[in-house]
Amino acid sequence: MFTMNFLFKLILPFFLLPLVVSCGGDENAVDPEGGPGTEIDVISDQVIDSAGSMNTAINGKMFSIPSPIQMATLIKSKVGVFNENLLTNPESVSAFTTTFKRAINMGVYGADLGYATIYENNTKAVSYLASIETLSDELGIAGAFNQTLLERFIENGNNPDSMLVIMSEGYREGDKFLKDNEKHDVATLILTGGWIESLYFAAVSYETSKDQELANRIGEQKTGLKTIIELLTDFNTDEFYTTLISDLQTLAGDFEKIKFNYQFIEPTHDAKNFQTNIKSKSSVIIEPAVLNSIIAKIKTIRNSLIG
Amino acid sequence: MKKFISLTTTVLALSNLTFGQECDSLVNICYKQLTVDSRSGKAFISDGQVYQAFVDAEQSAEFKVTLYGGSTYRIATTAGTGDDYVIFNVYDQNHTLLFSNSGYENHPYWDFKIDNTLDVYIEAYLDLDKKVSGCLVVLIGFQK
Repeated sequence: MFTMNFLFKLILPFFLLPLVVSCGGDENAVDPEGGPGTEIDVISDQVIDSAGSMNTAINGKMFSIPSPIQMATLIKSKVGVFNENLLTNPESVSAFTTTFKRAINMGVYGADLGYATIYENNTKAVSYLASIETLSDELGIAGAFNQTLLERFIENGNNPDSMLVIMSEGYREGDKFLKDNEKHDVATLILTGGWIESLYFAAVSYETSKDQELANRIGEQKTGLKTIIELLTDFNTDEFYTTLISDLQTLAGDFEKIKFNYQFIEPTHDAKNFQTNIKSKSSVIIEPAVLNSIIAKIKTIRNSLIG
Repeated sequence: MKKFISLTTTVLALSNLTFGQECDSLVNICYKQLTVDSRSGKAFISDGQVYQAFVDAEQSAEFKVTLYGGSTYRIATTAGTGDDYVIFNVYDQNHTLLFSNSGYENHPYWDFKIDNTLDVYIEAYLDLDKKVSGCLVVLIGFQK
């Protein structure tokens, strides 16, 4: 079997070239420092170098970043008390004037929304959803977070599971819209923001609880971090993300010191219920000094992004 | 030759439009696989990401996912109106096969109860006996 890299390198540029020529005006790099009017158009480079830059724009990869909802679910099972100090200010939305800040903080707000929903703080949750709707509009993500979704969210206020499903629908629609419109950089930034915020939740929650499962979950973020660094690096042709990548690489240095053990165990399959039980064993060994260093770094990175 | 180039360009442009439309409807079909038995209490929450690709014969899509211990996940796939167009395999970090839906009539979704956290590779491709090319969509959901 050939992989998707093969496909993207050889075939997809030919399919996408007509679309870029006709719709290229939508292709913008994300400038973290500039305002709305300072985004840099990169269409020409892509049209000229369809074999190289096009692959960078499309990225040629499928990737997965863990959902912040799962982290918040674990935290609630370990720390039962809602901690409002963990969350960002949903009113800060007007301070985000660049695409970079808007996208990163749309991810951050998504994690905050998930946390508030899981703790059944509906008032807080709705305030984040309203801010996400604003950021979604500003990022041009048509229809993902609209008034209908907001109303459905409020109507299901007595059912957190339904609220989480509705919230994830919004992010899934947004992710699809961005990928369909070749805005993979924005999609990546949103996922990065959510991942950083959820790791921040785990870090602060560990400090107060010293729960080993939370420590392990922090260590288990190694693959997600590696994926994020690879993606941001792919999109960093204009070096807009250099600082964030550098910070994350320093963080990755700590993750390299964590030991992971894995032992394959034969899974069992239940055809009647369409389910497989994966029984392989694994463990995480993380030194306290390494964990403390990760916690300090993620706090710094997170706080630099939400301001 | 000019006619050939013109025809090729038109086909490619139409293919591009068709690909987007095809994927759009397939994501909605695939999402139903995540919620197919939600009334029985099995509610899966999407991870918020859409994994879609145009695949042709002899090509596959592959990506790496961290599955957390103590969780149950659902992997749902689709590539068209038929429920059995996609074959997907799940491998562990050493590329040891953990599951393939090919042994279960290409069932479009499957649940995975995870005892301990592990990284897996998900590989998806078209069953060439049923479809030779087109958009392929994978969604991942988890139970809270």
